[in-house]
Parts: sequence; structure tokens; C-alpha cells
Amino acid sequence: MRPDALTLRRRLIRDGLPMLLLAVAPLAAMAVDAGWLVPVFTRMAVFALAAMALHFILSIGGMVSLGHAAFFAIGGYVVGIGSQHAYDETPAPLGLPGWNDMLISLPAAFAVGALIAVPFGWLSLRTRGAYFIMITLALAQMIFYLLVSLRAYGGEDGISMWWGRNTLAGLEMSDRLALHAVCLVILALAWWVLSRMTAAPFGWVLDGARQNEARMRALGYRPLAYQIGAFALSGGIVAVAGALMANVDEFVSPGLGHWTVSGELLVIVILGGLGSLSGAVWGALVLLGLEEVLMEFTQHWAVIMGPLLVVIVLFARGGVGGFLDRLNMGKRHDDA
Amino acid sequence: MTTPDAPVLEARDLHKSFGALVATNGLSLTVRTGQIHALIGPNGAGKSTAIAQLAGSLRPDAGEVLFSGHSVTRLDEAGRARLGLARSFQISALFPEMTALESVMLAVQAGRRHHARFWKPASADDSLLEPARQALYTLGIGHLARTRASDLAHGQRRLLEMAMALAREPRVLLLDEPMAGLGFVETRNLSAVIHALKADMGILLVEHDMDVVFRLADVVTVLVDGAVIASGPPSVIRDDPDVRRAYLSEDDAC
Ligand SMILES: Nc1ncnc2c1ncn2[C@@H]1O[C@H](COP(=O)(O)OP(=O)(O)OP(=O)(O)O)[C@@H](O)[C@H]1O
Ligand SMILES: [Mg+2]
Repeated sequence: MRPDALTLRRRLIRDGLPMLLLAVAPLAAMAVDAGWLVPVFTRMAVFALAAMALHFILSIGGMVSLGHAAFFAIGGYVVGIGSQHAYDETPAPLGLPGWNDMLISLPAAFAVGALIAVPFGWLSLRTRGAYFIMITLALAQMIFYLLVSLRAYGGEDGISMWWGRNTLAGLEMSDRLALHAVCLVILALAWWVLSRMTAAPFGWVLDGARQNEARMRALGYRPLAYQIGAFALSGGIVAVAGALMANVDEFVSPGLGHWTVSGELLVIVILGGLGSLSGAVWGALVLLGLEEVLMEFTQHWAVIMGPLLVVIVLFARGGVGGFLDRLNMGKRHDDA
Repeated sequence: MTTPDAPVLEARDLHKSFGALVATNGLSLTVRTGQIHALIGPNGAGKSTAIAQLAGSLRPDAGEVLFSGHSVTRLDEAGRARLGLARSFQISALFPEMTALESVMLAVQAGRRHHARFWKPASADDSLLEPARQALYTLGIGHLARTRASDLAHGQRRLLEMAMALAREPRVLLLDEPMAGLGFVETRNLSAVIHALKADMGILLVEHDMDVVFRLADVVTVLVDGAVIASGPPSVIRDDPDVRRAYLSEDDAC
């Protein structure tokens, strides 16, 4: 809430470093002939984007959604469905022609995600705490089974985009680095927008409602509209992440909307720490990085991963961000 | 707007029950601009319940609430706040993670219509900053502007509670035991602040400290078991036999 209280160096390390890592790592991978690693980093950027959108409503708004995978899947299907119809040259839903360009599919994913998030947010926000978590989960499960039942789009198997990913303003995006750059730019853009909104009156109202809703009403605020708005913005951004994921994998399936994906996003947010939005980027780097490394060593990686996460969260209270902040706190005298 | 003695907030025959318990039983009272109207009564008399119904956080079973002569019975709490009604809570209701200054800025902002809601950083908005600082200084906690609410001492929290209520320059102020837990000096200072405020607004003051009540109040209403047993100027109330029996006697006994 008070970025001015942080020294520049602290912000550079906490906020700049993970972005720099995401920008440089794929280039380094290419340099050592390990180009197959690039999508691993792109995945991190995409999950960071989705987790950041969740971070926004969770840390400021206090909304713990265990249903954000639904928006991830919705965004993915906006790409998959449009792409299939564009290839088949058959009309898409609502009689629209198929679409296969990111200039259409990404804004469309945002719009559809945000639109569906409005009633979801409205319903979920009638409760708080554990009930809020359960309702978001239930609504997301509804979307999951809806996608499974979509026979025209592969049902459980989803849509394999073997004809290739979306173009960007007509340009082919077959180059992995180009796609990575697109994801990174969108991540940076989302970060900029979300941090401005956090500092703006809009963010203050959300923050105030999380801390004391009764007082907000007594002051003359009606927080519900703000909360639904934030939930919709968050859902829209997660859908954009899902749309990017579809392009990375060239494949969409109901699995994008599985509840474990919602759980993964929550783990990323908590792992990265609630102190600043950059926690989402740290969390994605650490979680997806660990997954990748452990998978190299053993197929039972999940057995190691679980306890490891618990240790990290316990050891680094406030997540990676909080850990970095404390490291820097110790050195504060030499900043002065 | 600030005509002295104009009724600004009125309760007409309010009734409220919680199950079998009658918490408000035919309450009528009038708060006038330029007056401090004290609402007193023993514990559980229904004072806080009355404030909640006036503020709009609790819906009466029957009766009317009027603001400047217009019914606001169906208006929610936020709507009444926007008309110019402010309250302080008996138990401090603060934003624990915000500084004192940020809390009051949020209060000031609630009254604003035209500002960049989504984009401009609120912390840099001088039109919020200045009135917020002013409110903190008025209550003598200007030096605590940068302290988080959760780090404030009890008395300071009470004062921040007040600062948030008066920052919007309300037309009616509902104060639920603002002095509770304050020390002697703080009580005296806050009394002076409340006394100075009444020139521009109507004040409903719930207070247990009888010295404060009889020093500040222009009108005193005595509530017992949700019903008004007496209402009038302090000098009359002090000598009212019913009041002495029902209420003040127990106070004397302490
Ligand atoms: N939400 C509620 N549900 C049930 N009973 C309630 C509720 N709120 C208040 N009461 C009861 O209504 C009666 C009046 O309570 P109220 O808080 O208004 O009293 P008060 O005059 O403010 O007392 P105090 O001086 O202790 O603050 C009490 O008996 C209380 O227990
Ligand atoms: Mg009370």
C-alpha cells in the first residue's frame, strides 16, 4: 500500500529480479542449445499472470477463490474453439466466423472471462471465508463438467490445435521466443495495471472492505460493486492467461479447468507472499521450477513436492517476497 | 442548512425486538443542529441498538427515521452516510493495517464524487490529505498520522474512531460512548472537541460518564428497557424522580 516506504534497491530485487530472470532465462537456454526449455519459462510467465490476478483479489480484497481454474479454461477454450472453426471454416457459436489471431482471441478471452466472473463473483460474495472458497470451487466444477460435455469440441479429450497456434496481427508465432516475449509483455502490462489499481481509490476501497466492511458502510461505501468489479477483472486476466496457455501447448482440454489448477494458483500466491504483486512471479518461478527439477529425478515427485512446499511456507513466512523483505530489513542501515 | 435548532435527525416510534427481547420500545427523539442530545440509560437499555437503527445498519420492526424531514427508513447505511450522517462505534471499528492518516483519508474520500477512482494513486491526493490531517490534529493525534491503527493505544484508537467520523464534515454525528476507556485528560480534550463541533451539526451522544453528559448536553433522553422514561434539559432530568429511581440511583451507589 505504501511503495514509497520501500527503498529503490529493495524494490529492484523483489520486483525486478524475477522479471529479469523470466526475460533472460529463455535466451540463455537458446544459447546453450537447450531450446526445449523455453516453453518451461513461458509456462512460468503464464502461471505468474494468472496467479497475479488471483493475488490482486486475495491480498487486497480478501477473496480466496478456489475456482480460478474455470477462467483459465474459459480463456483456453476461447482460443481452441475459435481456432478449430477458423481451420474448419465452419461457423463458430453465435454464427461468428472462426478467429485465429491473438488481437481477437486475447481480448475476447478477457471479455468472456470477465463476463462470466460477474455472476460468479456476485454469488460467491454473498458469503465469506470458508463458504466463499467452497462456492468458487463449486462454480468452477460446474464449468469443468460443462467443458467435458462439449462433444463438438472433443469432450474430455479437448481440442488439439495440430494446425498451429494463433497468429499475432497476422504474423506467424511458431517461434518459441516470440511467444515467450508476448507472454512476458502481457505479464508486465497486467502488473502495471493491477498495481495502479491497488494504489488508486478503487484498491483502497477493496482494502478497507477486507479489513472492516461494517466501517466502510458507515463511511458511505457500498463495497460489493467494487468487489464484483475486482473479481471480474481478475477473472478476465486469468482467462487471458488461459488463452496464452492454449497457444503455448497448442492444445486445450477440460484439464485446464481442473480444481487442482485452482489449487496450484493459490499455492503460487501463498508461496510468493502476499506483500507485493511480484510475489506471484516469484511463486510461479519457484513452484514450476521445483516441479520441473523434481520430475527429472523421480516420477514420485509429488511426494517430495508436498512436504517441501510446507517447509518453504513455514520457513519463509510471508512467502518468497516476505523472505526477501526480511533479508533486506537486516541490511537497512547500509541503505541509509 | 445549518439553521440552529432545525431538526436534522428524528426517530419516530421505533420498535425493535430480538426474539422475545424488546430492545427498542416506541423510541422517539429529535436531534437538532447546534445541539448535543445525550442518550443515557443502564447497560442493555438499548442505546446502541437505537444508534444502529438511526445509522441504518439495523432495520427497525416499526417506526420511521427522518433526516432533514425526509424519511430515510428504507435507505441503507451507506446512503444515509452520504446524506451526512456519521457514527462512531462503541467498540472501535478501525482498519487495522492502515495508518491513522490513510484511515481518515479513506473516510474523506467516501464523500467525494469526482475523482479518478481507478487510476490516480489515492495517497498522493492532496484534496484527501489535507482534510485528513486536519481531522487528526483536531483530535490531538496529528503526530500519529503514520502509525498503523493496530499499533495505537486504546485511547488513541477511540480518537481515531472520532476523527474518521468527523472528517467528512457530517450534519449529524452519532457517538456511542466515545469516552469509554479514555483517561482524564483525554476525556476533557474530547469533551472540548465535541462541544466545538456542535455549532455546525447535530450530535447524539451515548455516554455513561454523567459528569460529561450533564456538562455537554443540551437535551437528555433517558432510556430504560428500550423505552424513553424521560426527556428534557439536563437540569430537569437530574431532578426527575423516575430517572433517579431507575437509573441515577444506581450510579450514585457506585
Ligand atoms: N443482535 C442482537 N441480537 C440479540 N440481542 C441483541 C442484539 N443486539 C443487542 N441485543 C440485546 O438488546 C439489548 C440492548 O442492547 P444494546 O447494545 O442496545 O444496549 P446498550 O444500551 O447499548 O448497552 P451498553 O450500555 O452495555 O452498551 C441487550 O439486552 C442486548 O443483549
Ligand atoms: Mg451500547
